[in-house]
Amino acid sequence: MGGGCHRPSTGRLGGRAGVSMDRPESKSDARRHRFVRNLNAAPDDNRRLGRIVATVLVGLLVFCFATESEWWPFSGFSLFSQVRGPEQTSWNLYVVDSQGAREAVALDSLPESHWGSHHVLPTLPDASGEEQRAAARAWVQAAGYDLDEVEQVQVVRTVSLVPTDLDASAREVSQTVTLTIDFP
Amino acid sequence: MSGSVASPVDLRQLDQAVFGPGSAHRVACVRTALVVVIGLRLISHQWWSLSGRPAELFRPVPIVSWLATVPSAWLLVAVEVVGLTAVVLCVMKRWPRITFVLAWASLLFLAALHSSSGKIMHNEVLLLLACVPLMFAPGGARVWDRRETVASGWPPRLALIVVALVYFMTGLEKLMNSGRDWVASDNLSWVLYAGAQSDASVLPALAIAIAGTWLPPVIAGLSLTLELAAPVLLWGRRTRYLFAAGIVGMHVGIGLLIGLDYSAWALTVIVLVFPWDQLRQATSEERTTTRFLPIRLAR
Repeated sequence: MGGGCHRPSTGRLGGRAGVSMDRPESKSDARRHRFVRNLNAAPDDNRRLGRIVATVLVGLLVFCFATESEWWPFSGFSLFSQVRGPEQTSWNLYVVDSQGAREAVALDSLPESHWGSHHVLPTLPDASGEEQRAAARAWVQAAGYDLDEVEQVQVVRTVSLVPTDLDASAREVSQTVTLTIDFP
Repeated sequence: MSGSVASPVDLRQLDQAVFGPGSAHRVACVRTALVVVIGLRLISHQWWSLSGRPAELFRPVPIVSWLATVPSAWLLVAVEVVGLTAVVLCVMKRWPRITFVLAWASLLFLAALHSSSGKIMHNEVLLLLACVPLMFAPGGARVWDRRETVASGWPPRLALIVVALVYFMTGLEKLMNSGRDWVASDNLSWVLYAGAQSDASVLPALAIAIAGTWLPPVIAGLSLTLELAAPVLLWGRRTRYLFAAGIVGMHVGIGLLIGLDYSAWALTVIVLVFPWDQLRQATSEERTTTRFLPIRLAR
């Protein structure tokens, strides 16, 4: 066992103290020595570093939670925190043409790059007129409508009843136009 | 975090439990396993499909607010490739500290873009936050390494504290926003009914079936208890496994029934709770036995 290979006496943590005297220090030896030097020579420094990281990390987590700030990936963590009931709210976009015909924009069928963009709809009434028009134009174009034929775009809040059967579909309870954007 | 529970007033003991020496083997295992989870998340999405979003529909989260819109597809692919290369190098123990940070930063950037659609996405949040302490872990730590150092001790423990805190805050937020109605009302039944309508639900019929029984309030109560008790459960070594089992069950249930992918959360908990040190001890005992077995037989 061991093949008679005698190595110099090792230090407390297995560092080969005399190795550089016999032959050039290998990369792995150098790495091990650096590791031992850095970590054991200054445990207080490492403790201090740990405390700083812990204070900043935990502090930011608690701050964002307490102030409900969303500094992603720090968050207020309001995941499913509201009580759900039989009614659900969805936000939709409708286009109205020059004849007054109204059609829902299939936001689910938009290109993948527009995935989740319907989450912008509830905040759109608070945006400036120019921002509202630009956003509406982006959706309508992505959905393949000819902008020249669109007179108006409506943001609609729909409340419907959640179906309790897989074969049933959601029954609409109310529809409210929350924003109307006229296209020049 | 040792198995013993410190008195609430004994801050020195608490400090020692968090910032005392720990095994280099554990920190190396945790870092490697977490970077593998990062790799899995990097390949689980077609991140380049985010490209092409009009600037008008881009609602950047603060860390990518310097961007006017989502960058081009080739840049997103490049970031993903850099991230995956870093994952492979980190697993191979090549510059583990740097490659870990690179892999983490790649996922952070891509997931931040994913979360810039007007709704905060939490899918990657726990993994990203739990990885932060591991960035400060010693690069020289290796699997099967017997050394016990201060630098190796606190990163995995702090990651566990982050996990405990996040779950606790998630539970507390439910309690603050909805009170006991979150458990006692039909809340979870309606969550299940609505989730069953989602295309992402794997078992919609089961979700509907469960929603109509007495189970939802029980499940809601258990979930909320698990979240609120996270700091206590994660402190004790044995109760940690109970917490991990409960959390994995909860996230698997959420994934199958309502189609929400929180697998990164479950995997993060598994990695941090797994008894890496016991694995080393068991393996070294096995090695010793195997090594001496022929000699014993020869005698």
